[in-house]
Amino acid sequence: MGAFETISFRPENCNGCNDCMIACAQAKAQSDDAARSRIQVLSSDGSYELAMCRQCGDPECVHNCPAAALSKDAESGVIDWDASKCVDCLLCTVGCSYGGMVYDVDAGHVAKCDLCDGDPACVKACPRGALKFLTTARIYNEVGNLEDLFVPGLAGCQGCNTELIIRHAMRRIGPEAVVATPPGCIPGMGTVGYNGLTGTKVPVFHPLLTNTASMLTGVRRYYKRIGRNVKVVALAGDGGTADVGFQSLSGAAERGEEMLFICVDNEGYMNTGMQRSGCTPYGAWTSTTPVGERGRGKTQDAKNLPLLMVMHHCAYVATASTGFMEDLYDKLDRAIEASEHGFAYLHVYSPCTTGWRFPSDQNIEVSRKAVRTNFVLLWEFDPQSGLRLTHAAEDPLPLAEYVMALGKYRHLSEEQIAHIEGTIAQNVKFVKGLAAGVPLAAAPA
Amino acid sequence: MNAIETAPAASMQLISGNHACALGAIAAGCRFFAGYPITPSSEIAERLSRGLPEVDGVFVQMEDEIASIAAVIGASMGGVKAMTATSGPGFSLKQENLGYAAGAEIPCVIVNVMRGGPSTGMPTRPAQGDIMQARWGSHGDYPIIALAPASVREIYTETIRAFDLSETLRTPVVLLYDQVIAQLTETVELGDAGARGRAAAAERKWASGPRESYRPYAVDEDGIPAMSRPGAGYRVHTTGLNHAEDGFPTQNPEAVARNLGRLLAKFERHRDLIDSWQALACEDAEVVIVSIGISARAAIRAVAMCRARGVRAGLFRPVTLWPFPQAALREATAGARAVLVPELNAGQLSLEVQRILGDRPVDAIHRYNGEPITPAEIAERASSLIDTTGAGSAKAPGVRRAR
Repeated sequence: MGAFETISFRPENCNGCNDCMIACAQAKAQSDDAARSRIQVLSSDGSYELAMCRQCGDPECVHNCPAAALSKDAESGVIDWDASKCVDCLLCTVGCSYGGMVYDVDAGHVAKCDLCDGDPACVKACPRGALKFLTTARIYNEVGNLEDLFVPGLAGCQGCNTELIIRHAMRRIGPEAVVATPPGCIPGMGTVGYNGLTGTKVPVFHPLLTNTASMLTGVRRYYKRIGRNVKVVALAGDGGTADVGFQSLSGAAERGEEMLFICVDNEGYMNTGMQRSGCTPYGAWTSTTPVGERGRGKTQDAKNLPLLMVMHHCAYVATASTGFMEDLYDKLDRAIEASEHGFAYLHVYSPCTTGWRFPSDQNIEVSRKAVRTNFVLLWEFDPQSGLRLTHAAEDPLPLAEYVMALGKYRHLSEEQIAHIEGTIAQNVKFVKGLAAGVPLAAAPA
Repeated sequence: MNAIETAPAASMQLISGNHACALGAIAAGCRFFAGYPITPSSEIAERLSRGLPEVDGVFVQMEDEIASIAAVIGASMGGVKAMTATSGPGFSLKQENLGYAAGAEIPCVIVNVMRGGPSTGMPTRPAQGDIMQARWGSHGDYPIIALAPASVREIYTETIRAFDLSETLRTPVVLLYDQVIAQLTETVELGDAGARGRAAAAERKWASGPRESYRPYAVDEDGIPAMSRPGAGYRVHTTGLNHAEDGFPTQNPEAVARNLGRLLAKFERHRDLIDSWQALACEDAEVVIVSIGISARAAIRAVAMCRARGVRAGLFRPVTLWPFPQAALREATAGARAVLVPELNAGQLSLEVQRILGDRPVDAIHRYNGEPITPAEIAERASSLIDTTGAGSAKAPGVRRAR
């Protein structure tokens, strides 16, 4: 059995406006009466609860139905109700713990959510993002059975996000690949293998911090010359990409070398003891931007490396986050495709539980907050289409939700937070401007 | 017996070698550090990122190793005592700039904490494989000073001496120690050492006199040209090209030979300032162990172990590694029947010792697997070199590889 698409509910975003119920009633009962909706939002102690069909994997309603009017669709996962078989006994309503079977008094029979064929009206009507239609199940269905090219036995820190990035990236990249990973956490955690049993199940080499893209140039050029088509992939940290590795990266991008360069950005030299890098944001504590009487963390802003890569006219450039897996997978697909004919650059933000000082079970939450506060912008670029935001920058969460979750920002003063807010506003404005502008190249004839 | 000062009495501190280096730099008057993270030297940068702002100095983390030494050279040209710190891979990257500093005679201190090699090697394991690189790493002919401390306290005092020599003699100085000494934590008392260092601290010779006649690389008897900061009023040109006394590039064979010849001979008349070594129980020694860093620490114990079993062993430890204190080595080994060089590489110090001692027998323990050499191993080998029956002399000459 695969995974299925589903509707999620965030009670903290709900204000009980009933727009979802009215939209459902209109779509399913041609009525403006919220009582006829298949989705019911109920007020409870100042908060809200959702009553609707969860499209259970082992549905009580289906078991209870004596007339076989209810059945679970193996393809979509939706529990279908067949009016022609229903005997109106209401036994289905007895088994359901979620209030998913509604009795439509006007129609005189039960009614339930059918996910509107994958385009739910309630979700579209929700003005506050409390309802979301989650389609991430398709990732599981597509890649769940793919071989995991990253074997167990890695020595990453607990809750390491970088491990997650590489695991998913390698599933999509597949076994026909040569991977290079310069010094940093990625080889340090055992990606390159320790004893022939651990590590990555494709050829991995460990170049120097200065020259990952250059060595891969040699690999790709020669393999191409002998007629062998392999994916050539860099998995590098932000130091090996933005600082010491930038010269070789820039050269390879300018020459249009056919490779995929993935920068795993944990905003510093975490493997050597958490020193600052060119990607460390303003105000952050690191072991070389101390906090004390004289120091208040880093005094410069991070360099915007993905935008620098846009100006290299790469075949594809994108920013991504493990907090938004569907988006990450879409971008991986496009980046891999682009690397067949040019330089593809993927910048993936990777919160570091150890170096950023936050609990190891909160990595995905921190990743999401980074995006929802606009601290990190998700976008993609190719020369034909130009730049496109893939996560709306409107209505961000307050910045404090993000920075106060991280120990490395615990010392921030109001002035420092204002500085970061200003930088974010500037960045949003600039990227939006790029998104609204003309593409770099004319569309191919 | 323990002649390396490790535990003086008053106001003791428990610190690592790398922290001692950072504190020594500040005590020596270093007010500029530019560096890049690299194991096992990063603690120097981390400590100075806090320490230098406290004394109104400048700490900059650069984007790479090359940038770090280049910034240090730039700062020194501006007149400040400046330092960078790295390990093998970074030291390799810095070589071109090291040659620049040597050729243009820019004072600066480069710390190289040696780890396993070649290339990325073993970042958290000790080695002594950069001994020859410290002398010959950059291309062309140039002189260099390298100091090799063997304890946390000595890292402190030698860091201070590195600045003194660098400033006095207008030269880059390499401070060379291994990962064990770097991250070893020892109780040390720095007060006295600091005072001694400051008392000896020498300032750079600055240009004086009429501006019209100033020539940046003209010298008097001491062979050290007087320096001038750009913008101080004197005409200054600094270049990596071969230059004449006026500082401007030249290919005139006579001018090149004159200035480069002067540069190459620069240290000879200052050997009393430069040379530093420890000769421990060498007076009556029949076997002299020659070693640096953590290997020398093991050798101190080995000397005692040998003597306890009736083998008269001694230790010669060059504290100034380059230029090698060769007269002192000859003197210390004059009465010995055998010489043993334990070192963490495939044969570097032993080559220099053999060169100096000519056809005298020189044995060696060479190890490059990331493990230090133990006192027992050294004592065992040293004893084996001496025929304790009294019948014969030392075993066959020539460097022999142990494993």
